[in-house]
Amino acid sequence: MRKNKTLKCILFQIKKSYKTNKSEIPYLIAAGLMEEAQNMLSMLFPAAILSIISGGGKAQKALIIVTSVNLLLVIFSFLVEYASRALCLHGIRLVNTMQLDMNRKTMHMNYADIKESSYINKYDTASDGIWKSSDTVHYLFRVILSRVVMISATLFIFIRVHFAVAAVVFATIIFDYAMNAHIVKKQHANDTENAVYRNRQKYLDDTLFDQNVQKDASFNSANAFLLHKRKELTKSILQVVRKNTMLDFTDNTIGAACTLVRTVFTYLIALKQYIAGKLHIADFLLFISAAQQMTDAFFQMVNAAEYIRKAVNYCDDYLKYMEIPETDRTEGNLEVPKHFHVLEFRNVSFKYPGRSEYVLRNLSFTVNTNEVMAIVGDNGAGKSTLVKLLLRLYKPSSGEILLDGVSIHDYRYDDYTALFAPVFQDYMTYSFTVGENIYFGNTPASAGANADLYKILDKVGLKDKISALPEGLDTPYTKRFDPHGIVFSGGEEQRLVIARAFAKAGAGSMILDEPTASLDPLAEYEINKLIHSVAADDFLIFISHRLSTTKFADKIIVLQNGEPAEEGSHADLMGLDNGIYKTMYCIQSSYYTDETMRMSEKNK
Amino acid sequence: MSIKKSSFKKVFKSYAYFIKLQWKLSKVSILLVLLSYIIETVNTFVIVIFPGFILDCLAERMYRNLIYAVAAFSIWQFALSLVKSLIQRASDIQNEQVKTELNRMLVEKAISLRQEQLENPEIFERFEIARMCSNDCLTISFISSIFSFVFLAVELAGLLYILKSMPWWCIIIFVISTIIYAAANRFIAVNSINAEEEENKPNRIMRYFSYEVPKPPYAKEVRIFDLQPFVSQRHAETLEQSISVTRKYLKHISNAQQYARITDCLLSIFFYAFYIFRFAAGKLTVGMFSVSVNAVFRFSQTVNGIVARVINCSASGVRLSKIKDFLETKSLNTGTIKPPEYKENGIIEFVNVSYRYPGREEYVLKNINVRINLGEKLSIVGRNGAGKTTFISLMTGLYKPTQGKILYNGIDIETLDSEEYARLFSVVLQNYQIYGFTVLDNILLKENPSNDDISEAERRIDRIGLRGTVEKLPEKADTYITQRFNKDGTELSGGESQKLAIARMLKRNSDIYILDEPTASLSPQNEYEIYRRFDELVSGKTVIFISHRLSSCRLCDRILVFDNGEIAEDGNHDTLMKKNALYAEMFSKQAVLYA
Repeated sequence: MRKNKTLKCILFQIKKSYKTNKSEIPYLIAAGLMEEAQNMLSMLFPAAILSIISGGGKAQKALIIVTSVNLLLVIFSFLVEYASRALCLHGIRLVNTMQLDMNRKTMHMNYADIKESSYINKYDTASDGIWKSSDTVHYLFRVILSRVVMISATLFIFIRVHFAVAAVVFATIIFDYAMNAHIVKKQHANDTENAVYRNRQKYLDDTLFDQNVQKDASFNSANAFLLHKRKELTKSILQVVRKNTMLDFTDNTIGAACTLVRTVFTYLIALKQYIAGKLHIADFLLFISAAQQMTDAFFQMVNAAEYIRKAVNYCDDYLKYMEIPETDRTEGNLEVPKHFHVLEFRNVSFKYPGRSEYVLRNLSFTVNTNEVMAIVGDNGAGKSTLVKLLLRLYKPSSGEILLDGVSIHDYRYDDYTALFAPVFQDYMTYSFTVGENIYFGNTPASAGANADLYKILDKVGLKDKISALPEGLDTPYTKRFDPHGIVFSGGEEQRLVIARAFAKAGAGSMILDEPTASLDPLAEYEINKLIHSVAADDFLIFISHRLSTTKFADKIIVLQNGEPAEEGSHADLMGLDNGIYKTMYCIQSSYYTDETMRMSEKNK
Repeated sequence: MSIKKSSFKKVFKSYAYFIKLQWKLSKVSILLVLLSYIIETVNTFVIVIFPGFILDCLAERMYRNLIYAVAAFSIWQFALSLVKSLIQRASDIQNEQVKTELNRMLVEKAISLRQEQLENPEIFERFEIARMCSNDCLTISFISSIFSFVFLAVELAGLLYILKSMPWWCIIIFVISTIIYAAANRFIAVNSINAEEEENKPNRIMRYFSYEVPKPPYAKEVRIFDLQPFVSQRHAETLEQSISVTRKYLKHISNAQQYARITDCLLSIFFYAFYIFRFAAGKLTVGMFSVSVNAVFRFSQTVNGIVARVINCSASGVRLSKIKDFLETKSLNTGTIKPPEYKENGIIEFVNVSYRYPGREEYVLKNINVRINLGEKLSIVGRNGAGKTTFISLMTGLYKPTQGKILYNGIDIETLDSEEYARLFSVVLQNYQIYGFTVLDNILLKENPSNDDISEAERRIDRIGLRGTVEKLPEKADTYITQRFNKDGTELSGGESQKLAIARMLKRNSDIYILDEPTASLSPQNEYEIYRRFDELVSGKTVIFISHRLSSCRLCDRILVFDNGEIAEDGNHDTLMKKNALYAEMFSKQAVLYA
């Protein structure tokens, strides 16, 4: 099982590298080998010079060697530099491509999965996974491969002179590594504990350094409170840091002791061989530096192996994320009929995943293409949830939603969602251009399409505003990426979002969810007038807790605590004695009439 | 070139400032840095001299000395490693403390500034960069760079001493190579900084595409408007942009590195040749040959190090100077007088007050003259952007009037102690904050609440109508709100959060209560209920409502109608309706929908 994971992740990394850039792996190998050649030259060179001059050789001969070796080194370093430069760009492209794939995945995942409370954590782990495993091919092909070459070369030297040094180098490194692994394990447990604290610290810092918080804090003691919490947190963090640095110290001590043994042993052996006349003075130098090179090579190999071992887990986090199913998009393959007539909720109940209470209970209604429907109810009655179900963001827990008698989940996802143009209560604006905020990627290419767009802008009352902008529709929206960006007022944004719904090509059904919540009375009035003039081709659904907005609908459904309480036209519902709708309507309108005002005065 | 002469000068001036700052934050950390450089420098010489010494011992067959030297060297290395790790341990702990302390300083400075200053993008940027510097422990690494500069200079002197037997013209070669290294390093640094600057925008856009757009709250629209192809395409384009910038600078940088390497190579050839001939002439022992060659190589590294430090110091110094700028920002809160006690018939008076945001041309408020009698219920209405919130910000002292005066019981509020003055007000802002702590913490915002505090908070929960909600929470009032601080936290609905924010504001025995349209997402019934309840809770106190639902105006004694930065109308509901101007229009437009 575990082996499979390792293999799978390593193969994935190799494949991904090959797919992103075919030349990456050859470059890695070439760069690694050239670096090794440099190392080898640097190791042999001083000994060679020493051997020539101390052997009474001619200075000219030494000079030739000096010059040629140095030139060779420069040439190698040019080549390595060239390869490294290319590799650096490959690396950037590789991680970003993986991130891009991941974003595509995120935008295709089931909405329910993305709203799950553990989702953020999953996302962060997967995204971290990309960066923390991104050097796998580097270590595999550049480091490990070339270091093996170095180890073989130095081993060759030791076999010729005295093998024991190789054995000691090997033994001390293994011992050091084993101890280190043990300590790292302990530290990891501490780190997990600390990660919680670090997250909290980050939250506190984000909060403390937030403009809105600082404004709020002008009127209360939030700053003192938050600083106090942070100080407490620092104490907890320090405890863990102390534990970990103590472990570090132990680890370092072991490492230093191993180095001590290695150094002393290498020198003693070299000296012994020297006295025995088996080593020339230059060989002595070579022997010592070979031992050093071997140690370095071993360490780097061990580190590389360790990196890959960890990277496999990180990469696995990423792959797990990438394998999350996209059932919302993939289920259903029926074509949506060109003409349809009726949308039906049949006994629909719904509770959010992981929750026990139902948000909607036994909801049944039908709406025809030629009707304007309104859904009303107080905060928390389930109005917005209903829209989410209709848009296939969630699936009903029981019951069915049918379009012309066929479950909406049986239709092809893209076809189905293309039918609807919603205006959400919590609409978003994007730091793209103004135009892109309306039509996103479906840039109108022809002048005719552009004219259509201006027709829409005229309808929502934004034409003058946008025509007056220096770059028109191409003006960047928000100042985030461009200081010349523009920000609309609340009312203008609302119009922008409505224009977006109008501009959604091929969408004949509109859904308007509380479109006037944060507007001043005059802007509210304007927008209301606008949306009442909307004539959708297919379905038109209004959602509001302000009954003034919805009274013109052909059919009004009153939701109360997730259950359909009343249904009918405004006149029908006003006709019900003690009806919920009637009561709500009377209360709301009473705020604007004098009689009730006097009544409430009396009650006081 | 983004590194300018003036910024160099500024940076050098701020050296002393940062050493002083760090000294104040943690003396130990500075000493640790000093200690680590002392042993590093000693070690450099050990490494340069040791191999030569060994070779001489070998050549002279002084094996006993050799063994002593190896033993001493090994023990030195062992001890060095231990001391270094102890220093590391101590500085990790110091850094953590320094971070906390420095953040505290920065936040306290932020509190002392006027809100208006904090909203100034330039000052806020300093604040944010200062935070980043603090988190990266930039002050200590900056000081460390300065020290290492000094020690590298000492090292350089030492190496020159070792090489003292060189003829004078060798020094010229050193000087020339130093100039080349310096030029190359500077070129590299300038290019790195420029690259960072130029990559900044595409990288920020990529982060936007990666970490924001695909996730909630965008996720809903992303699906229904099928944004994926568009976002992915734009992301890929931005990536190519970023890579082409990186490619350009990488090329410059690696070319400069090549020049430095060629210099290395020539230096190496030259000095090897020089020492080979000296050795051949019998002027050097084997050991001295080795020491000299090592010293030459070490020399070029040292010079490179010094140049790199100078450049790094100025780069990070530019960033760090934001800390200095921020901590030295003069607060616009200059008043010192303790504000007079709240009196029932007190007055807050605006005299010819105008306001425009710093750096802006147009006035948000123009010539406001109004007397607010304490104890009255006031409603402020007007279109989006008419200046309502600015009016409140001026009244509470968050902003300083551009022109005119605001008087509290006849005293100019600019002369009052700002903290004390703000204490008169309880405010729920348009975007009020709910913190990731418990319900109780959110109400009290107190470090170690006493039993009295807790029972007080419980009372507030009852009175604001949150009891039902709190009883349903797993840990009652000790439940964490949101998962931002505690993974077991719970979310509250909009209405519940709203009530929680009001409960907090009630806690303080303030005298003037302000609710700035915090109810946009509530249904009219809920909003009305909250206002009604609130009205009862603070009866007899001054209350100021800002709302778009004009229904709430009818609860008020007086209504101020703002239009285009001016007070267009002033009166109660009936008089304003009779006047038949903006207020009447707004009211009837809302009312007509129910007609």
